[in-house]
Amino acid sequence: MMPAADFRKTVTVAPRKLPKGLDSLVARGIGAARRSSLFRSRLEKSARAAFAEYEALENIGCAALQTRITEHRNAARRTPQNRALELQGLALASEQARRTLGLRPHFVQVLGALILLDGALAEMATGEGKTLVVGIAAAVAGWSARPVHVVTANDYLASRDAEWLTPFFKACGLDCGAVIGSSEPQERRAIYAKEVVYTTGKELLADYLRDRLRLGPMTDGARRHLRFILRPGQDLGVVQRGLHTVFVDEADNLLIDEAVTPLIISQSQPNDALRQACEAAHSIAGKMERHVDYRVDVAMQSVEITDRNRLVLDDEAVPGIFGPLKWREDLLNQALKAREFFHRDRQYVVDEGKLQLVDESTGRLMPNRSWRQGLHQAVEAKEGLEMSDPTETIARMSFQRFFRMFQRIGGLTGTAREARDELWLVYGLAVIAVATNKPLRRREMPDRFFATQDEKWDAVVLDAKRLSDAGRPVLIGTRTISASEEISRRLFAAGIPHRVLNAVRHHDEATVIAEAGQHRGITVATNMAGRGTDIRLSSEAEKAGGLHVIATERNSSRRIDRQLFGRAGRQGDPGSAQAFVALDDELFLRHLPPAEQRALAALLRAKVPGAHAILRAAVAQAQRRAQSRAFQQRRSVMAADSWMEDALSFCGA
Amino acid sequence: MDEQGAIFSESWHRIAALKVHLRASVQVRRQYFRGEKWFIVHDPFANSFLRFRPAVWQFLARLRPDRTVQQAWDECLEAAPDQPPTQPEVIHLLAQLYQSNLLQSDLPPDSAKLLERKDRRETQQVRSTLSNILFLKIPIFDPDPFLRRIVPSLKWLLSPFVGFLWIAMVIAGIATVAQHWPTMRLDAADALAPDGIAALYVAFFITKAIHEFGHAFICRALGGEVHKLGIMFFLMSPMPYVDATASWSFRSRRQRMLVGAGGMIFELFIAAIAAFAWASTGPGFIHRLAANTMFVASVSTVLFNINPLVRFDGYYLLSDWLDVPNLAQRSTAEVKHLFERFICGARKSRSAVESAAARWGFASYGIGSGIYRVVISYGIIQIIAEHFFGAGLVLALGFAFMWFVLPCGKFISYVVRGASLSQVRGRACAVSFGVLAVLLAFLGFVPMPNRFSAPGVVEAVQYRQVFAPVDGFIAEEHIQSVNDVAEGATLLGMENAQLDLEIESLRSQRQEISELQRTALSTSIASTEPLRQRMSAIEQRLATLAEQRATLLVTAPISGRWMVPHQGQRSGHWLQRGEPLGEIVGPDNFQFSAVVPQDEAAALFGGQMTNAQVRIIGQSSITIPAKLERIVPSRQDELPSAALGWRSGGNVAVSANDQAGKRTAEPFFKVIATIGETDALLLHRRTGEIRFELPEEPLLQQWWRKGRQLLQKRYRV
Repeated sequence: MMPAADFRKTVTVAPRKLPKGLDSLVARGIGAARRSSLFRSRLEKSARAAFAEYEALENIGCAALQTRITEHRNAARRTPQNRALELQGLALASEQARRTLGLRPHFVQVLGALILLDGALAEMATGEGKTLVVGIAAAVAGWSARPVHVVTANDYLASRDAEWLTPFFKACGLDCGAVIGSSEPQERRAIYAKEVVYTTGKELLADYLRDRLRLGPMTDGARRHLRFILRPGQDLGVVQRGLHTVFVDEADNLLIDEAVTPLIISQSQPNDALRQACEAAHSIAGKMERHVDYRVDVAMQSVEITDRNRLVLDDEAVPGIFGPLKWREDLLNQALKAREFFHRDRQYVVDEGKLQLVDESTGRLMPNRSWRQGLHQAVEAKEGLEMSDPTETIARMSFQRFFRMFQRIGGLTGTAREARDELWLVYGLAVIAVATNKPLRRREMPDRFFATQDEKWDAVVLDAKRLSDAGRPVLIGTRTISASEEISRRLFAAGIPHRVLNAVRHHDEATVIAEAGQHRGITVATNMAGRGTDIRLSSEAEKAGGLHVIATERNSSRRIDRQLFGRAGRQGDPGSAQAFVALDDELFLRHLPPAEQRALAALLRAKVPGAHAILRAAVAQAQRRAQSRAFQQRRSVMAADSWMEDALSFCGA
Repeated sequence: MDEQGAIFSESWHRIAALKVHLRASVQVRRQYFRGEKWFIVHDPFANSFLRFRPAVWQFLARLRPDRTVQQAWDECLEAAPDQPPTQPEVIHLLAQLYQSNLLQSDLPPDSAKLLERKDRRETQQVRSTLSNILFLKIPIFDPDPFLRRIVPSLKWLLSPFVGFLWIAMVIAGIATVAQHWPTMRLDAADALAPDGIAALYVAFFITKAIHEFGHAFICRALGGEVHKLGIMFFLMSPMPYVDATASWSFRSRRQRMLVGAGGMIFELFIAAIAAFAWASTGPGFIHRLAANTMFVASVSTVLFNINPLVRFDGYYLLSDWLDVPNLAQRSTAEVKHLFERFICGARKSRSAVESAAARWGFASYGIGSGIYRVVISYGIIQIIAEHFFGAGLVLALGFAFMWFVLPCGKFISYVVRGASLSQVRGRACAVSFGVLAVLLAFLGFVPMPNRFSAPGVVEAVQYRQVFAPVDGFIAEEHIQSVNDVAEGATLLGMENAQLDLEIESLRSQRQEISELQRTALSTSIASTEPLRQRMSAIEQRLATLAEQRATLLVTAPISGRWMVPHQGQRSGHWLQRGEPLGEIVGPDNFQFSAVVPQDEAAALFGGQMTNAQVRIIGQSSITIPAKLERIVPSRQDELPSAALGWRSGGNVAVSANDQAGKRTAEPFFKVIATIGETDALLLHRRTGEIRFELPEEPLLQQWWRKGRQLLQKRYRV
């Protein structure tokens, strides 16, 4: 490899500090300007030019097109990014897409691709063919020979998109591949070497961190250069080829929802003392009573031990370093947290005697992930599993930090409006809304409210049955695995045939999704079926009125609700959606004060006219609170991150 | 996941394999605070200090170039399993040491970060200089070599004998001042007079220079290095300062206190010498300087140096005496804890202080110094706004923003966002904003008495001045002052020997003329006519003189009360014709003639308010009802009595070039009020104060108006 190319592997942009005080006001102002219609119309004008050029290309021969692509590619390699070249690229890629995929890119898709290339975030309604938009943009960026990564919401989408677009990329003279959770390291290296790499945020960041670990002090390009001269031919085993351009599909999911927790690379290390201590803590916690010995704060997800004597009295043999009171309290706290806030089939599933963590926003399993030291063991102790070796963090980075290290970041999502300030301030992504190609034909029906879970489930079953009898496919979305199992149990009891898709039953995901759009089909799915899932309607189903989505709970964010609703009425299809909300849903329990919860219940029982409006307002309020809490959390992650970066700069990167 | 109180940190991996240790140049000393062992880490290059508990030091001491942080931590766990630092604590500790440039590591330093840190430190320095512009410090030179040279030869100053001498001197000085107390008070008043400010400042500078030398000398004599001497701009006026913080690393508490008190020790000694000088000299330059020095030494000592509520000598003395370092920070922390625990109900908030008595101490110190700071800041802002025109307003606004608006903003953001209040946010907000709202409502809506007062003099409505009718000595005073007299009664008798002589001489001339006339009848009839004319002239003159003589018995022109300006024995005094002898004042009718500044007068023109109260100096326990009579409808600049002006000890600013002291510096309105029934003894020309009750108005409205008036007055906006 060329030393210079190797040098470039670790060239990243230093993330700039978040603006504070007056600076942040100015930055917000600039963000608002970038989102303004003036800016958008300029982009539209450029996109129109590219679109016209693409239409003009329709009649030229295949060979001629290839020649022009090669010419363009050579030019793009040599010159730095520039608008004219990008527009030309867009036209060529669009035409190639039409020829290879048989899909005619619409104007809005060309505009979307231009927005991506421009380093902004395109907000396009669900079902507008975002995959193709990203593909075109990735091809244009790929021609410049700079590493292009396309980040999707999950492994399934990454491999699906890569597979679907491979002929297109091939025709463009580019290689593409997908790095997913199950890829082997050697395989990864081969895929990362390709021009366009489809992957998930977690894999990308994890590989980046692992590379960093492998490099160690060699992270410094100059050092590597010297080493290259002194000991040529020695391989450092790095898999990635540098960070330049990244296009994030479902950007709000990755950049906002997932950004709450930093990514951690860990290795397990036997630590008998900790294991014994966790067991001891578990047995002490078993003797403690809620409200008597400790207090639970549902909103903050914290416990507080009120009877501090407990710590001293139950002086069971807590071994080794966990003797001191302060430390014992920490362990006991975790044991209690494991009991109060971590529930099977919500935060985790037990699979072959092992804990598997579940990603709450996507409903997917996160294999080989674990909670922090002590907590993971506490949950294992609770489940009576064999305690795994505690893991030790060896590298850690937040998504906020990672995605600011790219030279160019573009994003795409259906739901960004709510988070546009944060996207701009943190990532420098201006949210630019793109109109739909065909008018939207989805009906959103007003929420239905119930006092208890039980009533809600009954109503969901009835409604699902009624609609499927009418010939429509129904998608029942749940937030947790346990909820999806519950509704499945009830449907089964009522003798209604259905399919279930969740983190436990996910092997036939593609089949379930493919059949979800069939006439009278009922599908129960966690948020897994939310982002990026394209449910195609059969013609009978379309005639019957299209897909109906029942959300069995409001999520903590309006955006996630919109994602689920967005499964219905794609690309101008008919469809409808409705949320069923119970007052003891977690959203209310966590984010509304108890007094308000009681008042709402009374309101619902009394059937006061106008109650519906108040309940809707309460949902909005709870979501707002949840969002502001999540925002605080992200902010503190970032603050901790940058503090650590400053404070510990003496220990290298 | 919060890492508060957790054992493990997810960032541990970043430091676990590092080999770091303290820099070789760092000095560590053991100090005891309240019987507790602490380790003080002192970096002599930056003259910075860090303080660690033994448990933390146990860890720090284990850091060596050949051991990783992980190894040191593990060793710590084995050696002292009772209170080892947790991983997050270790990370914070290393970060803190690194930020203070105390850490040496086996890794090449990240030079970009180093430069960034330097930049940040410089910006911070600029910022802190700006925010402390009132206490701007400019180092000028390094006095250490000089001190090194002179200290050995002056070391005897620290002997017990000198200590006794010092005590004796100071006691003698105090005794001297006590002896001459009344004169001292007058001189002190002189020192504050506007024309004495320059002299006062000279004394101030000299005294403070000696004060600072005291700190530097004692610090150096006890082994601390003193590297900075310079000028501090204290409220815009330059004064000397030295940096004696090296004493903080002294192991002995008494030595630290001695350095802290050093300034005052030298200053008081100088004050004692000044007292002797003052007592043994007559008026003159030395006398004045000595008086000023005493004044400065005593006042500045009480207001600033010994006062522990501000960060001057007294604070460090108290802090060392109580053996509580960082007294201010810990008090603030304690006040914050009390706020969180008891006002907001945050059960998780823990006090850092163990004993109940100490907690009371911290809390009261925190609150006390807070209040003192507010008062002092307010005073400073007011002084700046009043005395530095133009730019002063901008400066004052700047300081008001920095000292009041910013802290309020910080408090609000702490209540709304602060992590420690996250579980009790509702209550915290409710209480804070509730109190604020109640306060605002009270200030904004509850009408409060609104009054203003103005100086003035009591005047009789009807009075007649009595002048000396002729030149003469006062022979006898028939009626003493402050007695009622009837019209025509004799007030006093005067004597004028000249007059008598002249009359006698004229009488002789008349005799001569009449003799001459008689002779002329017989001898020369022609000369009778001139003689007759001469005679009549003499007669006329005589009549005039007789009349004048009659007026030597001065009688009362009207009935009333006889008032004499200068009480006491007057007989034998020589008076020229036309000099005032006294006044006869109409018995009952008094009015009060008040001097009202322009900006206050506006309220009076409205006419809604007519009732007022008058208090007379010397009888201020009696409130005299008064009624607003009229406002002289034009601006005046001549005081009704010089007694109201600065020159004669009054409160009204008078123009400096008017010898009579009656011309005011600013125009005013003369307001006349009639005085009602009272038991008070009303004396013509007696000064007093009139207080007008304006309609009740909320305080905010009153302050707003006052602010606008100030602007109007000072800046004509």
